[in-house]
Amino acid sequence: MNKSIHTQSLSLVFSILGGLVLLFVLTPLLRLLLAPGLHGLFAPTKDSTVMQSIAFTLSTAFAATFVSGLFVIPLAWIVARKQFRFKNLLNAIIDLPVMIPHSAAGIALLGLLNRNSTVGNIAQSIGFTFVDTSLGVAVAMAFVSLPFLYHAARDTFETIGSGYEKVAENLGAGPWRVFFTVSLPLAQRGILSGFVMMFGRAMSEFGAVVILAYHPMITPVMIYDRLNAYGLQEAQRIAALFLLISLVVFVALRYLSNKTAHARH
Amino acid sequence: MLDIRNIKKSIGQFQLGSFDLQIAAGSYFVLLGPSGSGKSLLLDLISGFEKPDEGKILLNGIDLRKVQPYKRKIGYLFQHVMLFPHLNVAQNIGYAIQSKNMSALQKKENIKQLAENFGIHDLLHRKTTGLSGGEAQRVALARIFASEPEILLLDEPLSGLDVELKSEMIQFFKTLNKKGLTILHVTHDFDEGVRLADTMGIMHNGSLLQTGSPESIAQYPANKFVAHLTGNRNFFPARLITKAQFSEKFAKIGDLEIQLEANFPAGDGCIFFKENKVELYQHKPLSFRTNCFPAEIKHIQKLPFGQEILLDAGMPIFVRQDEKNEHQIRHQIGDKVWLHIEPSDITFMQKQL
Repeated sequence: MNKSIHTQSLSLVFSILGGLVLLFVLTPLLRLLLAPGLHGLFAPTKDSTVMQSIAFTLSTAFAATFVSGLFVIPLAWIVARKQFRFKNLLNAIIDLPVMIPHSAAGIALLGLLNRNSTVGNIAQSIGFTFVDTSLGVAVAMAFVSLPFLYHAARDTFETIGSGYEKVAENLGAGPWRVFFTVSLPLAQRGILSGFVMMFGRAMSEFGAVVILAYHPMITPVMIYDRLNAYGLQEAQRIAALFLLISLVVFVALRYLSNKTAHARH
Repeated sequence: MLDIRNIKKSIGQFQLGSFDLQIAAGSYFVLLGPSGSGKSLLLDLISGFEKPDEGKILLNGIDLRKVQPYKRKIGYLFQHVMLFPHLNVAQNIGYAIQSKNMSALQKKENIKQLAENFGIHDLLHRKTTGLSGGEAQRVALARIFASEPEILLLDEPLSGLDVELKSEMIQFFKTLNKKGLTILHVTHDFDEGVRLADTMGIMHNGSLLQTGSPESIAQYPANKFVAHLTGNRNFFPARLITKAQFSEKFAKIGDLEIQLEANFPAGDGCIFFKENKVELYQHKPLSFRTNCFPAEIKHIQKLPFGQEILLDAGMPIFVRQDEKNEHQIRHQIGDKVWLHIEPSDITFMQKQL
């Protein structure tokens, strides 16, 4: 009886605390969405620079995520499967972009890739420029968001373990076939979830991008730009529209990734 | 033939080997040992998932050290069969032949044939998730057979199956073996080994203690561990002594002097006797000159057909009684009794290996 009362009071207190967290997250976002009114919310859709910026942000975030995946997934597999020295150090290094201020990440990238640096110079000589280019935007997005994909992929490979891979190898499949027909399909759910997380983080990045590539203007930079130039109301409208579109894309991607993973399993 | 020579492997504190082991082509070899004895590690060495520190493994004369695991043609039924959850039954069976150079129709026919051979043709389009333990194991075996293995490794294949399914799978494994397939079966269950093996090996702490037929191992266990593992718990180190008035030798264990039938040369060794060969009496039987000892009942364990009694006779002695004996005297814990063992039922081994 006593225990039941204690459990009930614990659940009640925890629910109230949890509810406060939810309010803390939802209130500013709802306020942002509702502030411009329905008419105001869709007003920026008539502004082609805003729409272009949103399309550019989404497509660049997608490209940054996809291309990062080609490098991050193999790394995640190696770390999950192989034992080697300095593995923990490697994990810590991959986490660095999340830990440092994103403006610092942007400064670091700008220092490395500006036109006067060695790397920037070499890159430029073969046709790659990072400062104020789409490529620069993608690099900055990837730099700060790839730990999300890395963690999701590595944790999934670790959870699945090497058992199925051993079975496939025993059945006569070479390492490449094992990876593409067993490891990757089995880890699909976790990797897709990592993709969604990385994509979400990449498209909302501001700090690193604004320093390396102010132009072409991604939407988070445009919101900041409009706030400076036209004030809160104008910035709020674009922010609200971008939030709405982000939510729709995010929910759609989550739904699709779950559906694909369910179909597979 | 699988020929393991001077194999040695260390993982952390654990060391396997070194030992030799030969498994003749077409034989059913059961490797018996408790968990942690190194059985599964040996299977991993054979299949190539672990590399030996020393020694070599030859399969039909080919040194496997130079062969990648996926080219070894060794079928390995893992303890958890691990059917690929993202593929259906047919795709699982067909995994090994998907990369082979044959037409789609041929592949389909192959899968169908394998499914029929293993009695799972009605499951081909099912997902692997809803299968019973027995069905999953058959699918896993069909999948292995698609890769045309030259030897089959079974890692505790009967653990976790219910009694009915167990005997069904035992029959199934026997049939596979009769068709000429060499099988190396790993288990911790002696009875399972007896039912399947034509040769058996006993492993403990990374060492191969004894190999031979199940009968010879049960009859002449190499040491106390093997005796216990094979169900012979009345196994004692003893010293042979002679006694005045007796031409036969006696085995001295503590204060007990147990007469043996055959006349062994003097020396140290071990004796053991079966649990069902120990007779119990309420009073000292006068008809026996030797091998009668007072004892106290320490524990009684009910069995499906009878009971097992633990006696303290200066050393722990296990007695197994069937239902008939059990009803002659109703024993209780703490009872003082007399036990007798016929000299002809006692085996003496010269030296503990």
